Amino acid sequence: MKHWHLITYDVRDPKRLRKAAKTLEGYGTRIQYSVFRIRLDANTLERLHWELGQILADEDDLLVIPLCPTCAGKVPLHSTGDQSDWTDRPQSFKIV
Amino acid sequence: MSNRPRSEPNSSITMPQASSAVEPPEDEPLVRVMALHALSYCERLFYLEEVEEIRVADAPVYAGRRLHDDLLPDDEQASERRSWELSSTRWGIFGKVDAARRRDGPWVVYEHKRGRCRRGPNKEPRAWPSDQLQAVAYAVLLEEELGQPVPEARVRYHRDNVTARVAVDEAAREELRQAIQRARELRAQTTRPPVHENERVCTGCSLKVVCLPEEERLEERPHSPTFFPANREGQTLHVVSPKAQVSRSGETLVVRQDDSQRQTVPIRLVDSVVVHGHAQVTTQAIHLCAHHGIGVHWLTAGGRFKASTMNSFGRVQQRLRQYEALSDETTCINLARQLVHAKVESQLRYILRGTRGNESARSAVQTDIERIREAMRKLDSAQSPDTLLGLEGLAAKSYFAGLPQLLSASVPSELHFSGRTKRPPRDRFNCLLGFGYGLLQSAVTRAILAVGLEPSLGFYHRPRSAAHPLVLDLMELFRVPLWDMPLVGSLNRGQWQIEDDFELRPGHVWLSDTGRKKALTLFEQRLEESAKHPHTGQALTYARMLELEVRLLEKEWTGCPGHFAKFRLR
Ligand code: SF4
Repeated sequence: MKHWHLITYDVRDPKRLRKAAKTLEGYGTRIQYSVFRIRLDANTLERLHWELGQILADEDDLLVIPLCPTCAGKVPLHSTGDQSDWTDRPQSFKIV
Repeated sequence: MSNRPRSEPNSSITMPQASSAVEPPEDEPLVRVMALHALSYCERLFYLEEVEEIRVADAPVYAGRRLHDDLLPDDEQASERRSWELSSTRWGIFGKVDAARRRDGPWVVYEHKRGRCRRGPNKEPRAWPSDQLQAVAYAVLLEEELGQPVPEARVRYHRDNVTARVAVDEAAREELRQAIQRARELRAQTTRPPVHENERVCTGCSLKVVCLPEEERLEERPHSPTFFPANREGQTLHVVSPKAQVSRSGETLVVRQDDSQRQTVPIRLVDSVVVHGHAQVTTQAIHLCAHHGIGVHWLTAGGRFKASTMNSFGRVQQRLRQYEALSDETTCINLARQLVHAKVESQLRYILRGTRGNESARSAVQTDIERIREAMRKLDSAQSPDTLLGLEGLAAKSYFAGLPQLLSASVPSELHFSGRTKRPPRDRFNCLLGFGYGLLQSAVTRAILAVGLEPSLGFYHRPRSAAHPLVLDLMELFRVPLWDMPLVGSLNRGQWQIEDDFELRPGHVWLSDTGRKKALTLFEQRLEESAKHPHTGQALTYARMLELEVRLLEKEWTGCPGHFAKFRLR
């Protein structure tokens, strides 16, 4: 089962910061400076954790906030801008 | 065993003799200790991973790696080594020891596991057999490296935060010896070992999606759990716009159309990239896709399949078995007969279903139905590919003769058709038909590459340039359900614009940009629809069913035949 997750971090070193951001970009979208929105399942989360574990140091912080579908559905209610896609299941294809 | 008192340092312990190891022949490759762990879990798992080189790193594996990175608490008194790579030609194994520590006494090997331990009769923590084997293997490696006895190993179970002790005694060594021996035997054999008899073992197995153990248990236990995911994981990225360029930026693919528009797609969300027409893909982007096992497929603007990247190293055993099986004429003709039967039956069922309750249509297709039925009857006794081809052709002719009757009266005459014209398509209907089959071809190619079979070796279609025979074979199963049906449905719903969606040229018809996008959406949405697969009784999306059929085909020659091409329209 895939769920939305908010992932935010506090990284003390610019090099690690860049690496962590780059890794997260591979999984989802950056919605604010160091906040990512990622939809993933338990397996992928484990993998992401592992990858970030290789990058981050002890002094860095990582916060992962899993959102259940109900909570994710309420995001548009409390936010500004177009946040309609929090409720949708992303499409299985994209045409550009 | 785990309650065994801690071994005292004892200088009189003698080093095990070299003869106690199973000395391998000169050039026999060493066995990974992790592979012994797999072996003790399930012989089939060992075979899939070590011999067929199929590996799926999933959650438990990653979690395992994370634990390995968790450091043991530092302790001034103790000497400690972590991540110690060791190998022994005497034992014929190699591996990386999580950690080894010494405090006053002899060295002790530590192995970390994420899960729970096993419990003994008095609830005392014990190591699982596969963990125990692994720990003992590390202990003997360390022993040889240090030239000192390592009488004990410990397995740390993080879920319940306990440590199980494992004695490295003669019994344990003997067990290790036998496991190594068994590993070598399995490495030399060419057939996959049978599935594990305990289905609960499979639940925790990282390769269950590839192994499909439920298929083989189905006969004995019709209600065993299914592990095949019903839905595809990632997103298919279709690049249609002719000016688009796909490049790489970090861990994302960037698609630029002219100068203004730019989209980034996180690489982990993509399951394949399909390039239609003349869009460009940079080498860097291709490398990134290859690294993540994502195929890139090129189609012409008209939907004809051109090329694919494939990234399937290894898989030699798998291919050898395919070559061997499909070199046998009887196997081929039997598979081909099942295939053609499935195809023709789906054509028949669709015509019957589409004219149900409409008497004039039904009477107009009656002779076609009879002809298809007749072809189907003759199929069973067909003994050569040519006879099959002939019968398939007869059925197809009647099917396409009857198909116009399935179009509703509201469909404008420009979208009607009279007979199949392939290259080039001469009318709009044929243009749509051909374009959709091209999409189907790329979807089937993706599925075959994902499973790891060789697309160039089929059992029915003859090798010819520009198309992979195995892909053409498998496409036959899905033409009706994946394209003919949604296409006719969309025509009946009036979704097509005779002007805007097509480009008419002298002698042939193309899809316009909007038409192409419409067709793609129609096809992709169809892939997302579910149907019940007769074999597992599970509802699967068609996208998944493509892959399942490839796996079932492979099972025809890996000891579990009789499940291929059983899907039927209802
Ligand atoms: S799924 Fe079951 S039978 Fe297949 S490899 Fe895993 S444990 Fe063995």
